[in-house]
Amino acid sequence: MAVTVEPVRLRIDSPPARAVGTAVDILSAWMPVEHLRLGGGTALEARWHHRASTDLDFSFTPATAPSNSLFLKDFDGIRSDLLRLARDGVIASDSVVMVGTHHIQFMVGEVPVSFVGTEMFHGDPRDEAEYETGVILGSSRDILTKKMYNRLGVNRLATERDAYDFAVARTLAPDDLLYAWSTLTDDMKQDTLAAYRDLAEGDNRGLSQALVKPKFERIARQVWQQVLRMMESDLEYVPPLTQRDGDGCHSGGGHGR
Amino acid sequence: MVAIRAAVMGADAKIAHVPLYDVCEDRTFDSPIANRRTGHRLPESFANRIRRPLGVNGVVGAYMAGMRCPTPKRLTDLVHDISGIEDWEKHAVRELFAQLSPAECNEFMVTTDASPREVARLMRECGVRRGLVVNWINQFSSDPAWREDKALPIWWGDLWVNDGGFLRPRHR
Repeated sequence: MAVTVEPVRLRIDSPPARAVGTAVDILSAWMPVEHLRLGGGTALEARWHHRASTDLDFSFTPATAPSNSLFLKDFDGIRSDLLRLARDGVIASDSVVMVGTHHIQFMVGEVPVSFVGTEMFHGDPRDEAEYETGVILGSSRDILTKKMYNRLGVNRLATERDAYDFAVARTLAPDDLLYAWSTLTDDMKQDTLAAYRDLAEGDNRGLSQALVKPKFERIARQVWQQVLRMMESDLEYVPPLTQRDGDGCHSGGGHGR
Repeated sequence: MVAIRAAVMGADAKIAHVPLYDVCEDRTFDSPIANRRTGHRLPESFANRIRRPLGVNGVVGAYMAGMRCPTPKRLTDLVHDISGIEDWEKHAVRELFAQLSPAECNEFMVTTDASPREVARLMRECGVRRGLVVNWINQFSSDPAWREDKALPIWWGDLWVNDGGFLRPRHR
């Protein structure tokens, strides 16, 4: 007999916590909540409490069903909703972007909300949910893979935030990070290393000024050097989360797999 | 990516770097179009506005999530008057322009009611040297040294999103 296990509910930190209920209310008028996944840095933060996240990234996948069958409203219906919500002040009127029904962005108060369709989830265990709304959290594997493949691999966007997430994931979700890294082609990996190398050796060397409340300050302080070293070693090197992690190690801290 | 091969102790070492570009000098942004503010290009109707790329409010919220960044109001002020900008703000501007597509750069300019010359000054002062966005702003420069042989390979690298299994340029 199949046993249904309720997902564990995890709290997200403020400020997204203040907007998640409103955001899900809005999105649930367009699509049943069970199809939504809350991903991005906010889902990682709910699991790891490793830094502050400030936005809400929702996604869905048509999977095997025709995509339109997921939607409760069509393009015009959703656009009318957005207009009404902006007029009523629920969302900021100058923050709305609608690129079809599969790519919508708006802001609830100060919190950016994105709602995007995606081809597939790289793992969807459905074992964790956001505390207040019950929306299923996207898997760490899926989030890391999309950060790695879409941002770094395809678009060559190297941000401090993603670099820090990768460095932390090496300890907290090593298998998921390895999976994400394996999705890059050799050319993508070379481009990634070049970008991180320039950042590690450039004017920003030793500085991390952009991350909000990083829990693991040792990594945050040397984020480019740490993530570069990790990727140059094909993920053998483990960036030390704490001072203690690095104490027993040679040549700059960290340890191998 | 530029690859430089060098013979080191008999070994063939490959040193790869990302090419960087400079925003053209201020004096080359001398045409009328480079000096005209652009806020008037923002459409008034909601239906038209939601079809445009993220503006200053949107990009700060979406791309600087979890990172320290000046408010959209402060960025708008800085575009018009850069005096008093702090180092951490320069760093944040670099982080922001490290993620923008050319279409979003344009929308940043429109929603801050800035002229191309003012955006160029902000980018130059903050050390923005990423090819895709430097190429966008340098199109407003009259610098004869900035020619298509530099511009075209950069445009080729536009930003893409995975839209239900199909790659399409972001915001098109």
